[in-house]
Amino acid sequence: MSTVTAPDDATAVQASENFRRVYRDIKFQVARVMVGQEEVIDGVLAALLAGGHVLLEGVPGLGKTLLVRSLAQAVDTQFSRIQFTPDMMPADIQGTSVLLENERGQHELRFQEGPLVSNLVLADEINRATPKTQSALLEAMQERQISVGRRTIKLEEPFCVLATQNPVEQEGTYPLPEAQLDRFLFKLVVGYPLEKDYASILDRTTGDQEVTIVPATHSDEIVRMRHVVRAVPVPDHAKRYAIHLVMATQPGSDYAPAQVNQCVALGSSPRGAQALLLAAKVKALVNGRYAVSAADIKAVALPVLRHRLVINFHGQSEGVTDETIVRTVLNHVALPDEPRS
Amino acid sequence: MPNSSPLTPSLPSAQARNLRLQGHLDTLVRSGRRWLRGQHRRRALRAAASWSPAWLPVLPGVLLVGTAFSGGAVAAPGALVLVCAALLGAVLFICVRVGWEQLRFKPARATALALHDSHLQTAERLVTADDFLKRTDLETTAPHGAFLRAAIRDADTVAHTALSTPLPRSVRPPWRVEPLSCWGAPVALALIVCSHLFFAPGGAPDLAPFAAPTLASDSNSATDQGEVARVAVARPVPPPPPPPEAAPPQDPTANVSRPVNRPPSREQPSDGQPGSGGGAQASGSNSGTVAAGLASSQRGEPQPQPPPDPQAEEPAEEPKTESKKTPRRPPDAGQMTVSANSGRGKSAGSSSSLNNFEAPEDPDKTGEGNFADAEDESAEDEDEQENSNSASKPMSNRRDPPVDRNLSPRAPQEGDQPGNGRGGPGDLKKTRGVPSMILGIPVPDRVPGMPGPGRSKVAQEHTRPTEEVHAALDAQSRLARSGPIGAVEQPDLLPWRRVLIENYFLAVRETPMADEAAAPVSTDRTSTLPQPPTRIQP
Repeated sequence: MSTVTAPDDATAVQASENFRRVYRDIKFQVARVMVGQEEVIDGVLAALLAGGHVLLEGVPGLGKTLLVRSLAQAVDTQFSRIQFTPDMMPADIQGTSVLLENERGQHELRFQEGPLVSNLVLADEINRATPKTQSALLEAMQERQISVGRRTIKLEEPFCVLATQNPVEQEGTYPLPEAQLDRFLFKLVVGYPLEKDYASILDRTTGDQEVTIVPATHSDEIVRMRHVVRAVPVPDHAKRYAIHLVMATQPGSDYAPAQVNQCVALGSSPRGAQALLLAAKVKALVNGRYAVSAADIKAVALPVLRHRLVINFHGQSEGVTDETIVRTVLNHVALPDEPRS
Repeated sequence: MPNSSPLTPSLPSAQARNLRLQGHLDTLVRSGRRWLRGQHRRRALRAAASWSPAWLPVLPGVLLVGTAFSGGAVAAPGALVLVCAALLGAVLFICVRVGWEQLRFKPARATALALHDSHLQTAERLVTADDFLKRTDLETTAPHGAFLRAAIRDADTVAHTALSTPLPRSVRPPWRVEPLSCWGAPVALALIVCSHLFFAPGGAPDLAPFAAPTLASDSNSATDQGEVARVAVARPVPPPPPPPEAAPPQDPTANVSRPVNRPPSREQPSDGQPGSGGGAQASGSNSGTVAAGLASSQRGEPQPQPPPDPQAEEPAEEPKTESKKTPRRPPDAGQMTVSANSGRGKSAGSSSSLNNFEAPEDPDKTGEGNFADAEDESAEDEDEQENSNSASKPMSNRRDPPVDRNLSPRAPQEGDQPGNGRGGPGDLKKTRGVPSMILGIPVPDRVPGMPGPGRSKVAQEHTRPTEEVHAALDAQSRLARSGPIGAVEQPDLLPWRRVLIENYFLAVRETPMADEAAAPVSTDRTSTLPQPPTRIQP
């Protein structure tokens, strides 16, 4: 890992420009394979650069796995894919001690790392694994380490879990627990491609030309970019706005609208506010600014907050979704110091 | 090498630049506040103007009332004075309201800067710079310090642009007021003028009719101020209540014959009429109504009483009907009440269900009442125990047998309920969760592990299938086929015969190949036909 130096006020400009350039390059490489889905690509890149994890949700055939694989090739990092199945055990992803024979013909237990020890981990169809196996990701996602027995393995940076799940096929699946959902920075909903994108998708997938992704950056650059993201300051009014947004999702708070009080059982945790600021920092840098604005927070609020809400029975019976709640909160909480005309 | 970079000014120059930017921001704050105050003043003016018609008759009313109570000592104001007073009241209201709003409105510094930001679409750069300039860690060497200074420098150019770009000229709000207020002003003025002209004898603008409007319509000759004052004091009494015939039919003896301390009846069978249950509940449960009925019948003066309104009397009745065994239920929980009643095997309506919650007013007064209470309590305990132990509670309103709670699939039997999640025999999953214990709430089937099950709707209809009468079809003789026959299967082609024919042709194909060379060439088509073999294996 390279030594990261603190940028001074001149290099802040340079670091910001460099950030945008690398961001554009990665996005360009991914877009060579992935047609459309700009918001999803932006979200995945933002999560990667903010140091978070992403949950991709979409029906089969929309390119979720392709997106993650392309991203791994574009950033040239160690990539592992875990296909979650109902019979998978925590040791299957964390690693376990296996009996091996050494050169002298003796047998010894040696720890073999699981696929979780990697930079980019694609947890494909994560909701097919049992909660026991899903919980094996908790420590890795939050603490960036794995504890197996008495062994603790520090995961190398950048570490990013990109999980996919299918909202339609529910037979034999296990919904992610709230503790794990809260650890995802974004929940991105992959929708159907636009009509104008279909032709390109068909040309690229049914032709004989294979697109080779050229690595746009490497792990050290990603780590450096993460430091740059952390250095972006947040003014007070934007911080207040993020706090108000998160508190507005909590039923019973001063900022909660009526729909939240009626239909939400659990609101976002403070981790939601952290995620809002981190994602907004990336957005500010991508937009060429050196500080976060409230508009940045508002732009990332939906993918950040939508999976941190628990709708109660009343809300479910009314057909209220988490997306509805977030939009209501965004309409309810005014931008700080916004002049009312 | 931070200081050698052309983008990094030296420290004094940076401070000077920050001071200059601070001055620019102060200027922008002043202009922004001025703009916001102007906007707010216009908004307040508009709001006050929409409410001002309500203040038109205030001052004229005060003048007229003061004149009326002065007893003729003060001369009556003329129409022009009244109109001016009306306008003055409205104008005064507008001035006070706008002034008050202006005093209260103090736009924040950030709000004034955000105005420029939103005008120039600069993504809050000015607000951010103003915030960062106040920070104490501005000159820190930490990484975020560099971004703080970069953000300030970024806002410097924006501030210059904002200073040179005037704010949009405040759009004058359209002088439209609310529809009611729009018509309110002329209507109020017209009312004042018309009433003045109408009550004035001979069209003269005299104040006397204003002082006694009730008498002026009866006698135009009552112009004497003293007489007017006397009449004004003797206000007409309100019209008497309607005669008893106009009151809704009500049997006065019903209230008399009904004992106040009667033992509480557990049910009142309904006669099926929609209002009958409510009437019984109203007359039987409200002790105040009963007492009033007794008093009026003893006096022999049947007083008109308002029609019984069960919904209106329920709130007053609730504290009395609350008992330790019957929990208070919301009035709108009709379905739950009916279910609870029918669980006891009673076919009572909503009125009887409400009577079930009626508590004895003083159970210690009569021994019979105590005995009946003991019986009722024991019966209720048995019923409650039976209901709590029975699995038929969710279906009790239909008096159906308990549903099968066996979750293993089995063949449907007669009398099974449809598999709608309540113990049905189908393959659908049956819920046993808490929602299934709530009466009257249809619960859609949910398979565990469904975060987004989609919208589902369950409609429960408690109806029996009814037979539809249909006319029987008349017998008709069979007619000849009129359409094309189409491909008709050959009845002769039985399986054994098809095998026979197949073997025949296979044998035929084998034999010509052997005899083809020896066969003579002929153009006669008939001579080329295969000859049947001598032996055919069926």
